Amino acid sequence: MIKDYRILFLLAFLGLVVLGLSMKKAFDQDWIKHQKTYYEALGEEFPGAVIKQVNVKTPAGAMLVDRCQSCHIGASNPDAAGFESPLAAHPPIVPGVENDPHDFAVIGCAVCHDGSSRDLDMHLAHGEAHGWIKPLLTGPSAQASCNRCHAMETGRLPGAELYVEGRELFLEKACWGCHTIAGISSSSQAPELSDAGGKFTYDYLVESIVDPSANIANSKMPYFDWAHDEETVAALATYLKGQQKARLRSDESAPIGYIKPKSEIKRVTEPSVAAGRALFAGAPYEGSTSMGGCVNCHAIRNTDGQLAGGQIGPDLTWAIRTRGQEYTRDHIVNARTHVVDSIMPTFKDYNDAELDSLVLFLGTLTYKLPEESEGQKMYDAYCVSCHGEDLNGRGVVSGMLDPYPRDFSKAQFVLAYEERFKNSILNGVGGTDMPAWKNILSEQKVETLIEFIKEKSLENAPENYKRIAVELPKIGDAERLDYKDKGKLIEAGDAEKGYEAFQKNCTSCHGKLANGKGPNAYNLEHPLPRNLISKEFLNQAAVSDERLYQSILLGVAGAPMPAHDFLSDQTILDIIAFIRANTEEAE
Amino acid sequence: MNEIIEQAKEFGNKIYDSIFRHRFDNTGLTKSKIMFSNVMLHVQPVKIHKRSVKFKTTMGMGLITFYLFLILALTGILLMFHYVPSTAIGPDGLPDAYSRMLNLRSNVFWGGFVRNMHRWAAHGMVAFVALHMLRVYLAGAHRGGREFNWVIGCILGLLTVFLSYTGYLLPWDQLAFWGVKVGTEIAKLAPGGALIRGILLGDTDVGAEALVRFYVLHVAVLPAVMGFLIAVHFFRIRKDGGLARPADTSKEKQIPDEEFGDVKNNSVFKTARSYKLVEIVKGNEPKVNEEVDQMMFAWPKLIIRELMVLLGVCLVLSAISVFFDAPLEGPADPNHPTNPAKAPWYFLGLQELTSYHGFIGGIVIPGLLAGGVMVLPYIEMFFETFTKTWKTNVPGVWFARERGLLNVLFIGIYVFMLVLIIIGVYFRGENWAIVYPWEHPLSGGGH
Amino acid sequence: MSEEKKDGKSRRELLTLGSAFGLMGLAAAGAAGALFKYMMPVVSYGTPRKFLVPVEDLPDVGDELIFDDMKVVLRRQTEKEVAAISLVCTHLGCTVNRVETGFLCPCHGSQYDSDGIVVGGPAPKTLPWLDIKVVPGGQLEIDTGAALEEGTFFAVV
Repeated sequence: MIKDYRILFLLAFLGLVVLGLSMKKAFDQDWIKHQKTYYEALGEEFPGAVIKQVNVKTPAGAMLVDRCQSCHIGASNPDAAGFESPLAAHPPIVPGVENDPHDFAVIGCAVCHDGSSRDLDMHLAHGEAHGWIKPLLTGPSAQASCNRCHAMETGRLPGAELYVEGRELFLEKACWGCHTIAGISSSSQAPELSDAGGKFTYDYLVESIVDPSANIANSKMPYFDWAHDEETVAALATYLKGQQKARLRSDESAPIGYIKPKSEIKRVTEPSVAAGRALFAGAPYEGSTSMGGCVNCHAIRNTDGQLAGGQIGPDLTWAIRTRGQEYTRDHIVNARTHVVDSIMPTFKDYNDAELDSLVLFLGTLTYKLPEESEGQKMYDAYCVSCHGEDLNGRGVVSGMLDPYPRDFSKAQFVLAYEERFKNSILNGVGGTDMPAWKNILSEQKVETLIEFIKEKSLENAPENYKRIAVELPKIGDAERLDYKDKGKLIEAGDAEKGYEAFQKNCTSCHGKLANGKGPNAYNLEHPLPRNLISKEFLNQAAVSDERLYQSILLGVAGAPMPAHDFLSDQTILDIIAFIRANTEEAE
Repeated sequence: MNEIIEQAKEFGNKIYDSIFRHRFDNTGLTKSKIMFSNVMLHVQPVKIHKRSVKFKTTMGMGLITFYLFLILALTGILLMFHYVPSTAIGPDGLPDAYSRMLNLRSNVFWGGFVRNMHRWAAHGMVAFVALHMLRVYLAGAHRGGREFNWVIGCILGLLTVFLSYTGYLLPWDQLAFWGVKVGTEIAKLAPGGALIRGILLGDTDVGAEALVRFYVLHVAVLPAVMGFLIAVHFFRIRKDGGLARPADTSKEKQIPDEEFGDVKNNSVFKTARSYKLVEIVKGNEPKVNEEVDQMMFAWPKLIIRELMVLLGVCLVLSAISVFFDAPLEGPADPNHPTNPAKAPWYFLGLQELTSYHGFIGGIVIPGLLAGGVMVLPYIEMFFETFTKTWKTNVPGVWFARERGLLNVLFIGIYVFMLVLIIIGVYFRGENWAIVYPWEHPLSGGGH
Repeated sequence: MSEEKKDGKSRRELLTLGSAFGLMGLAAAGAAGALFKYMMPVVSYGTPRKFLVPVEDLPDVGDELIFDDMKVVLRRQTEKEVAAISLVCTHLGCTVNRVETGFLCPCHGSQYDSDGIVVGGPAPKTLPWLDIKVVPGGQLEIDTGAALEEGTFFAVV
């Protein structure tokens, strides 16, 4: 028995030790140590450890529990100014005011700084625990929280400089063009940001601005050059973090000392080049509240040919000359009118004066190459931003274009379709970003350019490549029977049968809607399947039934479109009829 | 003066007698009195078989489970002082129930420790129920009249899992919400499961109503049912003659008395064992003249052993609770599932099965397993009765040779579930894809 | 085994068992102490002691303003003088009602005059007059915790 008693004794002893450990853990809290150090540094007697809890009342009656000052005990004590973190006094919030109106004994810390304000362990309280929804907002980014109590839609709140800068950047960088923030912009192009601060953390916002695909893999948001500037991103992210639907005060009950100024709407009313330039640059024009910022995506060339601006949309130096005023206007209002898959946001809120100003401004861009330029030079000025230095269709702006610019590095393509090039360059390709260059380039110059392209792309061309010539079968021709379909007489294409054949053979790439966005399209690289409901594209002279027939039967040279020689002629004609029926111009 | 001292002594004795009905000496009579005059101890017999206190007989599994239940009840009541089952969102964006978890780990003294104890004890209890069941089966202790107690034990096991599961929701964090969400989706697959799910959740989805229902089930209904069934479980063990054991034979080695404490015999019959006369034990009594006396007094040996187990459990559990904090993810967000969303570990085997086939994996297999295991003793009884192979000598024998095949099958079920659980916990990552735990940190619950 | 040896053995047994139980008792006492602390409140979620009133919200001269949830009545004596009186009965803490003649407690019938001085009923003391401080931002801070003498008015503006 004595053995059992001894074991019992041992176990009881160990139990006591573990109990002691658990008590030690409960007593041995950092906040107690901080409070001791604080009173020591102040030279006062330690009055005993107390959890400093602030119950922040909200108009709704609910309460925010804030225990941060258990560690940050000197936050509102000016004598603690020189103390080390976490005991130091909080630096002044409103610059140039003797008595700061923010009383931490009433509002606590978490109202501005987020974090987990009930926790007393530093790691947990600062919101560093896994999955915590509100990580700490430190430094100037805490200005995002001013918006939770103060009405800040317009006007300047002293001390919230970064936030105000962010709001200006939101306009200047044309973020408003795609993103909606209630009261500022309305666009369905991209996720709404009215509650960005409520939904996302500051770090998430920063990350998404710098690298749009970091959090949403198939984001269409462009990569902006300025996103490398940390200060710009910080200002924008602070502004966005401040956009929270859940607020602690309404605009009416916002703390005194700041009253929301009435926002005035003053738009450009007289078209002028200067107004257009200001809009293009995203700068305020003579006190108007019109928003712009085309330059963030589109570059232009000055009279010396120097390029400046964003590399996201096409170079607009030639826009008026290649597209004309009407087209440009339409394109600004709704880019999808002419280019069916354009990602450019719609600017339907522009008034006539603003649109005219923009068109007028673009019309002042007259840069032109010297007359006797050689092929390379011309290519570098006119083509390279889309078609790329290596002619592979991967120019700097190509990523955002749909359809992608042509890839001339594929010799088969150049060999097969050489004769189309001239027409495409002179008259442009409808429904795509390829404009008509006939007002800028003479026929002779276009030929020089084509020679240059051929020379470059056919360097490593396969020998003896020849595309078979096939003719569009004539309807009812007894000489030309449908051999794959028991030698029947060929009839006019039937759109309904064509629809069935299309659903069977084409949808994996061209999609059920024939818009070129089939499931397999995402596995293809360049070029992507043609959008077959683009009226602008299919109703141009160059896209004849014969071309469609050839492309279906033989496939497209240098493109992922395969040959479909297993389809009978009649079926192909049916499919063509289906495509045509989809894109008929309304009479 | 002396008289006053005498009177004081008498008064003291009277107080003593009013509380204790016995002295603490070594006589058999006292040892019996200690056991049956104490409400806590009288559940157990005065005399037990010497083998009962041997480690290898039970490994203390059932007792550990019971102690964990007691610890859970105690810590659970303590936690109730600091908890509200409310999903109301405060201005800090936190549901009330979740805020209480933050209070426990911050301003409530010992709060984190008590919560850790409760959490780890709950997981421990599920595990020890399973181990206890395995022990009982492998030792054949569900046989020889104990078949129905096995069924009660199985119900207790299911209750344990359900208790643990209802408690899993209460912190109202992401882990809790999605763990329960996944679990109740599995219930939907069963015929009539949608009804049960509706009654459990009180709404079409996991939400405020579900929290209240889970809370009431967790703190009142299930513990009450459980407590009652535990009483029945213990009572039947007692009435079935204590722990299952094979008959004593003269060939067996006499376990020496010294280990179990001295017994002073102050009876006039120096050799009689009067208590034996009133002891009622079912089953075959050994022949009198061949009888080997392997019985001993429960006091103090058994009680001390039980106390040792209790201390051990408390010790290990507190140590775990000091060094490992119970998980708490961000507050529950019905719009953003954790990836992957995992049920608690004891359901991960099920979840793994459902990932292959919803109905078969989520309902048929677990249903067959739970139902089959519950009636297992009767299946054995049925076959052995009709094939006239009734085995009487196997209860209480570890790995009885006659039951080899059954034991292998039973272990097989355990290994099967264990493998599934291990896959579910360690080898499933984002989007339920196979990952290797040494390449990815553990994610999305399961604990 | 001799009697002496047996005695020694049982004494050792008793000693070990006793000290084991002693340790267990110690652990239980420790745990009970910890649980006592577990139950002890260390923070308060209640109404704060102090609250703010913007100067422009003050009542007219000679008028009163009652703050229900803070249980305070704010009285403006003159253009510049204000006072705050607690509405918590000094008897057992019920909230008194403002009536023509002063204050009446609904619980046990304590009666106060309009300055809070006890005129009847079981109340032992005058209703507390509270401390008022002018804080930056044109606001008054009323401290419901500080009990001052009756008739203590504070200069504002």
